[in-house]
Amino acid sequence: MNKTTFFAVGRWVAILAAVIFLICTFSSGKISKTPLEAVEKAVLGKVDTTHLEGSDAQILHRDYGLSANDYDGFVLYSPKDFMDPEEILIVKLADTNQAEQVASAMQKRLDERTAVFDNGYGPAQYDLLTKHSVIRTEGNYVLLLVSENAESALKAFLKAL
Amino acid sequence: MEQSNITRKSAARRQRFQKMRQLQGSTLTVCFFALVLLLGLISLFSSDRAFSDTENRALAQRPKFTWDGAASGQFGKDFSAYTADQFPARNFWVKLNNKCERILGKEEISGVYICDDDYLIETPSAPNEEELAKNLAAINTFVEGHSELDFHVCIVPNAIYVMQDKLPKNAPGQDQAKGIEQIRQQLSGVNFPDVTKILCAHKDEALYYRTDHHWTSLAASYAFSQLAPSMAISPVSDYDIYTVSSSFEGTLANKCGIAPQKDIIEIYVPKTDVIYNVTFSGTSETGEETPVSRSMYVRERLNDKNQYTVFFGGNYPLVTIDTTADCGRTLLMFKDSYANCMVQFLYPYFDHILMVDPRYYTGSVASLIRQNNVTDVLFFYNYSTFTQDTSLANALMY
Amino acid sequence: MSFSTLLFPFVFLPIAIILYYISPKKIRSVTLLVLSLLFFAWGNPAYLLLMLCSIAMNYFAGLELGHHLQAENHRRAKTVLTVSVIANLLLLGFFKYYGFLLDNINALLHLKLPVRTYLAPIGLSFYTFSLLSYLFDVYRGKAEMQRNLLSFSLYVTFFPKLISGPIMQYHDFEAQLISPRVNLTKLGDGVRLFLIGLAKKLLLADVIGTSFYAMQAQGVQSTFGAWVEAISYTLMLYFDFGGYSDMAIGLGKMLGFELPKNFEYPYLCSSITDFWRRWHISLGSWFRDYVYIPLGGSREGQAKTIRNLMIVWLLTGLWHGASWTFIIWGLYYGILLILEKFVLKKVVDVLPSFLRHLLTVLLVVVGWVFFFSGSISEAFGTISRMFGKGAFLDSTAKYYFSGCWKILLVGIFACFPIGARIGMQVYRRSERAVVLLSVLYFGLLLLLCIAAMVGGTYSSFLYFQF
Repeated sequence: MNKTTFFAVGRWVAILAAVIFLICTFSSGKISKTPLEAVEKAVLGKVDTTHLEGSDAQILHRDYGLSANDYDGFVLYSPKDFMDPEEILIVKLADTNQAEQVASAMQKRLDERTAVFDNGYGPAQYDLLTKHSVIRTEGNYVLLLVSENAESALKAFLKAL
Repeated sequence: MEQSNITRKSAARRQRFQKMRQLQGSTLTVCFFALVLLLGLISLFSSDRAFSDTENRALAQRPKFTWDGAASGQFGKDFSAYTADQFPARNFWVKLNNKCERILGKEEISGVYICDDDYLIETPSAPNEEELAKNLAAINTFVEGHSELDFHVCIVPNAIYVMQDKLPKNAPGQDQAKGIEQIRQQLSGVNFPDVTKILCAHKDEALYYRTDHHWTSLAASYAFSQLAPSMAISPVSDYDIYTVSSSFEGTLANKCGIAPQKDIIEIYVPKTDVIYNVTFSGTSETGEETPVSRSMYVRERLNDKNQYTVFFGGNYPLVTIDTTADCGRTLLMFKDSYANCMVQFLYPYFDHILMVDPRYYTGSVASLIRQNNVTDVLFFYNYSTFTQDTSLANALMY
Repeated sequence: MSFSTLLFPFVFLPIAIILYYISPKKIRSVTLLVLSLLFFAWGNPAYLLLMLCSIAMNYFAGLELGHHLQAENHRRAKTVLTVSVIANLLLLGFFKYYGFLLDNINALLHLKLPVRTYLAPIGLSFYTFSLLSYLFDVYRGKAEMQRNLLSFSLYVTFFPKLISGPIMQYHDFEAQLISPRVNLTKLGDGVRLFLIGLAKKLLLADVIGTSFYAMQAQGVQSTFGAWVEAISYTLMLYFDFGGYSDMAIGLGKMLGFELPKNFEYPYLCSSITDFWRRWHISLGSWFRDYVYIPLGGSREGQAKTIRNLMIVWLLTGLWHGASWTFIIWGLYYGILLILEKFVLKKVVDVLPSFLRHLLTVLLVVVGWVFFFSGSISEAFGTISRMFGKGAFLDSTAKYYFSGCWKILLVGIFACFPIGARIGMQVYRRSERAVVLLSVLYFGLLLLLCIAAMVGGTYSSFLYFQF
């Protein structure tokens, strides 16, 4: 092929690559068929659970203002002791439109917990809450993680989906 | 001939100017790179600091390089934070910066007013109207649901209102008296003693710490003089006052990096025969289980930065005080940290005091009331915390 | 990465300069490209891929254009140009204007289409305009197509100008790629200019900024307050953007490149036309060379000139941000320039020079109110307060004024070329003295800058969002 055709092809390939890149980065995430228990297991496997205990819908409502019946399932691990910042919440959405509401409830909870340890009361906890916390929406799953190993747990979460 | 002389002269002048410019440029370059080298060497040869006392926070450490971290941009952010946090002589630069800001006339640093008489006062935060309405409604519902109990609500104004004379000229303040009155009007079935007036009457005394957002035991004693009659208490009039610290530098000093004067912490011990012990629920901040103590004062805390936690060692979800008062009254308190130095005045008049911090308490309040034969309920908060609290309504529900 | 955070002047810059200067001449461009890509990717590595796609697309487009033009195939060349320009603009539009567009569609048609905003790659507006400049220059024969991918990539990603300009037109950069660049005089000049810019940003813009943002958050209620707010922003924006430009040009010099001047004491302007020859010069030049003149400029009669001016200023406003306030701001200047050009010429000439300067600055300050207001109604609210509506004074305004009047005064002085004048006076007396004085002066500035960087909260350059 002659030069200009080669360049034209090159140009269009670059445009296509850019478009694909944008789609991949900004797509809202596919619906995952993984069951909640498998996701829970994957995440918990990476996390130190000595300070955590499983919690129920009452605590979900009290801490996050979310009603468990709205969703397809949830797993909540709250700190055993108020002084521990570690917390895990996995919500399986019934509808992807719920994602924003759940994520902002998680953010609100995170902000509240961070404010408690601000002002000198708990610099180590404050550090954990600000630097080792993750809120992540992936399709029909929303995750809140506050843990030393937040990064590897997040990876496990994504892998499980 | 003249023309070429002139042009030669101006050319020469230009050349001299260029030479000066070059000299200036090279000198500056050498100095700049010398400074960079110096700073680099200093930071190489000094080990990384883990914690900043002045800022009361952990300092960023050297991040480990991972491909994942680099790809997500996290390594970049962490490295930038590391450079900033481990910069040589960090405290010196912060102090210099603060000094310059003061010279320029700034009277406010990081949300703290630098006031007359070496006072630091926190800038006002707007009330969270939505949460406040929720909390007030929850209190009213709670009162209705437990009409056999005596309810008391005490909202303490902060320094931003009481010490407004000390604020920088024209600085935006907050009319907390008005706010407290509005709260009073929205509650029914409660005793609502006014502590604002008496605090304002004594505003020239040491009512608030100079470096911390809390109030002093002296202020609490004045407030108690108003709270007691409202709660049908005949107060003991005599106290032993002990100074437990003269080196307190509190939260506001941390926030703005200035501590013009250190604070004195006093404790008031009522002259009474009543003795008590304190049961803490849950583990303490350091992980120890200290379930029972003979004193509400935790001496070890005076070695910490945040010496105000000498009162009860900080905030616990539930603290139970059992006394030998033998008067048939049991008090349930919903509180924030201002109440910690208030309880030293209250204990002689109740058989038991249950201090609940709704931010942490996960149990059922209703069963607490039943199991302990509570007779009085007191909501004790400072205005700023109360108008931004997001956990009281939830706690009262269960 | 931002120029005014500790990481840049104390880690990145020294390493970059050293690597650049010790690299053998042939590899210098590679070193520079690697450094620039690292600089870009530091903040958000994900967009590095996108940037590479942009570079690739425009590189190939340039080559195509060059070859079509050589073969006298103007029609084909035009197609390539159109497609490439649209592709570049679509990318810019996607990140910057998508949300704004949807908001307006929703409002007009009462729909509730979901609006998702995306974080734009840093420097998107600036490097997009650089790319467009390349395409136009090649198409119009002002520059040769760039066969060397390395050189082309360097043009796009050159880190001094990557994030916030000055916008360099391709033919200017092309010329500098060939000639030997590095010399020590330029390095010295560059360091000096960089320090001046750093001081402008940290010691003037950021300090005024804390007052300004506090005032904006509180909401000033009086005439006096509104003026303090507007003047603060006027000074803050100049020292922020001007400082950043100084740093960029200084960095360019350190690496042997001459970047175009972006600011020339803008508040010494004697007319609006003059103002735009002194403020964000590289942007004004870009719009003049690539939009105004191709549309016919002022050569096709009064009506067409007016039309061209309005188009240019509408686009200028829009470039600054996806909001009606920026559009109004642009049109405001468009109208003023038209009035100055056609209607007010005689009036303006009659006025004494002092009054002319004052009135122009007044108009500029009012213009900035649109720039910083969150909405048009807010802007009009502030402006009406500035011109008499409501109380004259209020205590909040007094409070903020007492905290910032000193720095505002310093700022006003810094709008004049006082430093240069003093320097010249000292130089006349003694050459050594002026060098010594410079070292002391810049040394002090640098120490204060370090204090500001360490002590202050991170304050990003205002034009970052563009």
